Amino acid sequence: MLKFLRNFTANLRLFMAENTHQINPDRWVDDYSDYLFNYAIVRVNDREIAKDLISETFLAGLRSKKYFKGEATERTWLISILKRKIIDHYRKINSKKGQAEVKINYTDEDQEGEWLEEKVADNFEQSAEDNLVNNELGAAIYDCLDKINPKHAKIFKMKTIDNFDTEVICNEFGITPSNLWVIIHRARTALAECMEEKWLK
Amino acid sequence: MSSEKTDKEYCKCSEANCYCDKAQYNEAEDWERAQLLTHLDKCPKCKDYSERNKKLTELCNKAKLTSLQEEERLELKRLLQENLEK
Repeated sequence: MLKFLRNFTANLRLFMAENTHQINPDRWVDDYSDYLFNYAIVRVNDREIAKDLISETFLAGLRSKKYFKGEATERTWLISILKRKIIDHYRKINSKKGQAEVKINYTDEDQEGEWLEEKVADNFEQSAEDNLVNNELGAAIYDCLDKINPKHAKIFKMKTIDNFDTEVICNEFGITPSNLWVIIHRARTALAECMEEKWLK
Repeated sequence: MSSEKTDKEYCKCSEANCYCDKAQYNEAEDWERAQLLTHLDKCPKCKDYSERNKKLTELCNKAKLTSLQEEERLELKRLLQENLEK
């Protein structure tokens, strides 16, 4: 019986360790900045404001990292912080106009650390259905890029999203144009496979 | 004579796929486009890839994806680093 309990406890610890997400601020910019930036920019429609919101989100994340329980992924947790920052942004604009129309429950700065690790069910009102579809599509593309070979994903992003010249990418990665097109082909194939079910049928 | 010309014009699947990828970025030469079209007429597998590839391009355009520039990324990293050290 004692042996059974020991095994059970060990297995439970292992299970919890495997199913608890870790926090690693050193990786935030590389892993999440593009995703968060896209999330913000479609909502505030201004590059500079979106950048500021990402900075504020990361700083708030640092301040409250001790509250991260690991129940949600790091990205979900950061998105939940960003959502509050976006709401705050509109609240400030509205209060400047004397039209404080945005109602939120957590306005106190002291409560910053108590952000819920909520699932990202985006209740934010969008002006058009198109925006909603595009947001979802953008998130799906970034989700799939997270799943493919990181080098392929980076080269795909530089080529497809940032529109860098082939030569510039080749110089940066020390590869030939032929190598680049092989990588682009692999990235596109993997991405299409990942997006097949929902978006390509 | 005519069949020799056809053989030369008919590229391999890997080449056709590469031309198809280049075409998504408007970087395929005219002769590459011509070879691709000839290949697609005879190869259902590559035709399927080409159609999916075009759809993927349309989706990427529709999503209006954007990303931070390298300097902006470095700036964020500096900010995080400074505050991590505090």
